[in-house]
Amino acid sequence: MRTVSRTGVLTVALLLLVVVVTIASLVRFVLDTPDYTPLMWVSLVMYGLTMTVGEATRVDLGARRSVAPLGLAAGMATALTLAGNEGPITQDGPVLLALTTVSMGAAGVLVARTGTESVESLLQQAMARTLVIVALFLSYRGLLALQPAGQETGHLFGRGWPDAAAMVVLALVATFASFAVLRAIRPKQVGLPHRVSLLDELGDVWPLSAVTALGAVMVCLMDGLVGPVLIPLYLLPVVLMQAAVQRQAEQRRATRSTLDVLGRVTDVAGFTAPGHASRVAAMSVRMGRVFGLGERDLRDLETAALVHDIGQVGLSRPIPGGATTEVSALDQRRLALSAGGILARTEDLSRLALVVSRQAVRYRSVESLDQAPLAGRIIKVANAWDDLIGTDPDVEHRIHALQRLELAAGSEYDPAVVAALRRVLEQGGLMHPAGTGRRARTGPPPSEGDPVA
Amino acid sequence: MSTTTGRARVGRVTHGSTVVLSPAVRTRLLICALIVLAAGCGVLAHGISPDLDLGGVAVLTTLALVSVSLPTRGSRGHIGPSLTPVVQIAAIPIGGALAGLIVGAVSHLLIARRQRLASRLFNASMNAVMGAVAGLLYVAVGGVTGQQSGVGPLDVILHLGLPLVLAFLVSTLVNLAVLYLRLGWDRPDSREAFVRAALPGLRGQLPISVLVAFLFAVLWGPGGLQMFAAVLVLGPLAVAHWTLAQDEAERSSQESTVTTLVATFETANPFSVGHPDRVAELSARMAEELGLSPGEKAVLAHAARLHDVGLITASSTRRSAREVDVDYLVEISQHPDVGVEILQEIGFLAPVLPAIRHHHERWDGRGYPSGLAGEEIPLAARIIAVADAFDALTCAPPERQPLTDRRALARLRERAGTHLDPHAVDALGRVLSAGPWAPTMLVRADDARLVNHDDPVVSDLYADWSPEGDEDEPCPDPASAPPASVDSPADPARSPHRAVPLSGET
Repeated sequence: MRTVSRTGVLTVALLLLVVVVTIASLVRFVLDTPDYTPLMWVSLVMYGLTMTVGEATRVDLGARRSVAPLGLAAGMATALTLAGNEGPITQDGPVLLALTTVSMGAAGVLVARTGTESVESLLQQAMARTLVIVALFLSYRGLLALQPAGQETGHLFGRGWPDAAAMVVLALVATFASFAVLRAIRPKQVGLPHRVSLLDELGDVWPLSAVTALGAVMVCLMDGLVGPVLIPLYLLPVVLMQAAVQRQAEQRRATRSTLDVLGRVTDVAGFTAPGHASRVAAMSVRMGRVFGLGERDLRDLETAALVHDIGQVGLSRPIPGGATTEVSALDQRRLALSAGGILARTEDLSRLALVVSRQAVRYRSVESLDQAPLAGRIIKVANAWDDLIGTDPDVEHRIHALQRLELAAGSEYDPAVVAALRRVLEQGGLMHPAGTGRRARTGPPPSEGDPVA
Repeated sequence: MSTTTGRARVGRVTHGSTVVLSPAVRTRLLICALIVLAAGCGVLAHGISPDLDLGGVAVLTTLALVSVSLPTRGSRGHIGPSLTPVVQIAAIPIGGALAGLIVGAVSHLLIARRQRLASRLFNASMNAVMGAVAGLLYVAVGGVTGQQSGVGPLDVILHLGLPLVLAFLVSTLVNLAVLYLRLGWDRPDSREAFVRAALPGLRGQLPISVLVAFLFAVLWGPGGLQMFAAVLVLGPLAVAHWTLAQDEAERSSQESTVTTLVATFETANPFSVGHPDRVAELSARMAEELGLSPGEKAVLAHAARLHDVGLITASSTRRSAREVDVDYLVEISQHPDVGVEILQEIGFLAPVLPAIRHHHERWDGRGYPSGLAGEEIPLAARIIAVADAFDALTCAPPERQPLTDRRALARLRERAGTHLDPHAVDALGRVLSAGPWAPTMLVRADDARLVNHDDPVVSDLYADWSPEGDEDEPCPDPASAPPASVDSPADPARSPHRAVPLSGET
């Protein structure tokens, strides 16, 4: 809970800073209007318009992430152009800030009215981008100031590829920085060990980031060469990339919704408790995070967990409550095999068939862990936990259920996975009534030896 | 003289007075003609503008070679342009009037892919002509090659931009013309199909390709970036292409989830293994006969595979009923709606849902769940209804005496206009006369006595019972509705439905 409030304070502080600086910039702009060439004014207007449109046409990547590559590219191109202008920094800086914040504000109003994204998230993104754009402006301007006198103005090492390469490097750093800033202020998932590495998430965003950075440099250069009227056309590669990413995100959502439906089929048919599959999937993913699995593995784990009970549709009559932990070990394995058989029907999901068909294997009976994939062992525990507890809010029951699983750890369940379950439950505050801060030790002592096995 | 006789022996087949060239010889002739044309245009262009930047041409040729050698995925859903023609045409302002010819010819000659020598030569010579004609036009309309930095925007647009656009257009036209010519020689009937396939793709890709070539050429020369322009312009495009390739993988995983739903249904109803795919195949063939659009066909394909998904939830005792009673009819009448309920969360299946909901409607309006009639029923649902009934009659375990295709079709024809859409039945008739229909079928022995809800008799029983029809009367026992009255009365003894104890033990 503490992290959330800290990011909240950070957001408000940054917002205040941006508002103050913007107002100061606008005042300065009005009092002392810069004497740019007409072409420069056209450039600035085009940049402002492109930034607004780009910010307003954002791509939803899922997982509470959305990006506006066009907006960021236009903003960075503005920064590079103004930095290359080499007027007094007290003049170019405020112009950049005013243009950026006004464009983003306009775009923010447009997006907020559609209601697709929360105002808070929009503010955070606009601020992250503004910061990065200003930083890019200052760093390129700084490099230009450092270079010995006598060079052509507005270009590093004269005109040519070294100048472009320097801009590309700065823009790349800026793009990744904007990603890192957003990641830092985004509220973390409460109480979860965030072992998913930064690199792993970078793997998802690098193509888009690289195209955005290269696009920004290209727009800036083309603006100087052919003029500002065609600025939207220079953004073509970014537009194409944005379309590609958008399609990819849509495909992912489509696949995901079908998987959700597959997970719910057994609920609708009355074989499992309502929501069982999605709860097992959510719990499995949390436990997978404890083991430090990467995004790809987590996605596979989630898919396998969603469909782990699908084999039950072949039963002639439902298991009471759908609780597979209550049926014989042989039947458990048979159901798991049936589910694996369904997954094996398609090329894409067949790689999960092994995980799903071995989910019921007893930990004690495997000769090597290769025979029972980690994902399968995780699903086995998550499934048992949900069969025992489901949506039961009673802490006593939870403690008892966890003890029951811990007693069977080493025989039925993988002890490491059961330990991960305990960690997830404790960190999620699920093992004690809100806010007591310590683990309650009031559960009844286990009376049966190994009740699950 | 000797070559002429040699060619006459090998390549000429003389039919009376007309001389027909064999395909191999025609290709060789075409290649020779293309090479001569390319050389001619090349010499002319070189005459007008003799500059040639060999270093630049070497780099661009390598780029084109890499891009043309990379594996291409299916053309479905391409957004970005293909990079090879972009590099080839941009080479003209960068390297000189002959650069397009060289880049096109060399890259296609050395392509790092398995290719027959004839194809290699044909592609190389065709691209040489494209590059040469484009180069000639470019310099002819005042395009400047090897432009260096320090020129104004107007110069860039007038002496690079506009000539480049013209050059790109003419090279595309040459490309289409040569392919049209060659296709027409081999199979004249395929020309129309070629034009229809090529034009829509061109409309989207051409402006993008031209723009990319313009950006690339401007940054290379006037921008002074040289090779770095490739990083700046072609890099992002390559990344976009790569992302689209990932997209294909995502699409296939989306199809996989649909197949998994079908597999789940079949696990729940072992009796129905293969039924969804058989109905999908029959429906697809009927759609062809009925002239459905590609979009409608895609919807029909999904609907046909998923039409019975709602049966997953029908309680198992009902699914394996051995007689038709009111409980069975009630249960079975819910499955179209249940199927829709299950699938409605899946966005891309939204257009499929009406077909699934109404696949048990009847042409006379006495079906379920909505009692729609005639054209009110979605066409896809009417097609599935026919395929469904046909499959129920022909694919039954041996104990149930499945009908032959001919007899089944005859029975469906009797139902055209009452139960089924006459047009759809006609389409099925055309499908069956066009080719054999011999699906493989797996049946488990113990399924033989179960009722198949797709059996047309069940539809009639429902129609006669129809709960909303007359509410003042108590539900009549469906067993009292004699199946013979709606079934072919001519030979009740040989009807397969006799195996279903419809009358009697209720």
